[in-house]
Amino acid sequence: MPKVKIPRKSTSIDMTAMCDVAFLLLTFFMLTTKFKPPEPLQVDTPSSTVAQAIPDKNMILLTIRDNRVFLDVDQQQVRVQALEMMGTKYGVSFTDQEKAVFSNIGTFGAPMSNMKQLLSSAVNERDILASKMPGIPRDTVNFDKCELFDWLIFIRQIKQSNQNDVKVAVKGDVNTPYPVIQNVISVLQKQNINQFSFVTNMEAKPTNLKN
Amino acid sequence: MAEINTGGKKVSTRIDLTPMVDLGFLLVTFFMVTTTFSKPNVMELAMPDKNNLKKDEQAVKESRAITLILGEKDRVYYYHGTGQDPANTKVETAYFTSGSNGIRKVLLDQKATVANNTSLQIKEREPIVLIKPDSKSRYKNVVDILDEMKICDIKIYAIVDISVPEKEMIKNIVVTE
Repeated sequence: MPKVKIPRKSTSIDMTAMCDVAFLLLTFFMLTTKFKPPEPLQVDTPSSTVAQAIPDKNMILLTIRDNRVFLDVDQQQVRVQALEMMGTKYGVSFTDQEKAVFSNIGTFGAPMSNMKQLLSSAVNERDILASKMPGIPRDTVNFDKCELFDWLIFIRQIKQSNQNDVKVAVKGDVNTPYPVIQNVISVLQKQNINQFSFVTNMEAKPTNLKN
Repeated sequence: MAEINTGGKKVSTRIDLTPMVDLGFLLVTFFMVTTTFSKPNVMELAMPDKNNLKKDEQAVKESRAITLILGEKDRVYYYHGTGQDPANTKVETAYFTSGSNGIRKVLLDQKATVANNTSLQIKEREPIVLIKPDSKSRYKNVVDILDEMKICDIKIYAIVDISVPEKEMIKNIVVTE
């Protein structure tokens, strides 16, 4: 019988094209990823079974740990305007540079009396200083002097004048004593915010509900 | 001029790109996972409007209601009814565990009892849960109990301030662990 000659072909294929695709995707994901801004107040959020993602926009985030309340809001313009309004009420004026710093600072917990110190601090010291802030003061007896109340009301005013409906989310640490939460809720309710949300981690829903 | 001897053999300029592709996809996967899964969730909560409280207020039928008091050390003290008669109210203790002493069982039992209560009208056969966090409870307890409401599918619940008689009630409870 005559032998049939099968030509041997190399099994290695050209990887160049695949490599191109991989790096193209890599570049895309790297560019679209937004890195978390530094958090001055680290919290361990409780977990729940709800599966509703946090909205990205028009959100006032109140971070609470121990007895400290920190605030964060999106949109740089809104932040600057709110800072100006707070400055007018509490008699502190800010330079353009300080306003620019404030618009990028993310979560903050500085009382108005310490705000200038925080915003004019050196870049490399700012994160440490921000984490040492005592939180936004809340006075639930005299709401006229409650800075948290004023921040919320000013931010909501500005957002509403831009036709944006703003939501409030509370991000508390698991070990926060309830009176602190109750206190913050009373500040919210004082200005008729009766709907707000709690930020939680995902947890699997239990399946066996039968006794 | 003398020629440089390259050894005669020509070395291929092609290199194996497989490890590079591996690395590329590994990084792609990493970025994909970190972008989509880092988002936390939110649990919505509606509190009654304090200004219009009188309008919304309606008498809570004792047979429908169960009161949960969130206490210290992750305990839940509960009793049936709204505690109009503190002297004759039996307060029991449950935990946030899913076992036989868990609060979930209590809630599901209450739900079943109310659903089978023929003395109530059909539309009234839903339990009402009053959540009263004590000052010694922590934030986690509040979120956990609200989550239990979702898990047990309880539609009517409210966070209410704890009253003085109730503080007295839970003070005297001795828990054996």
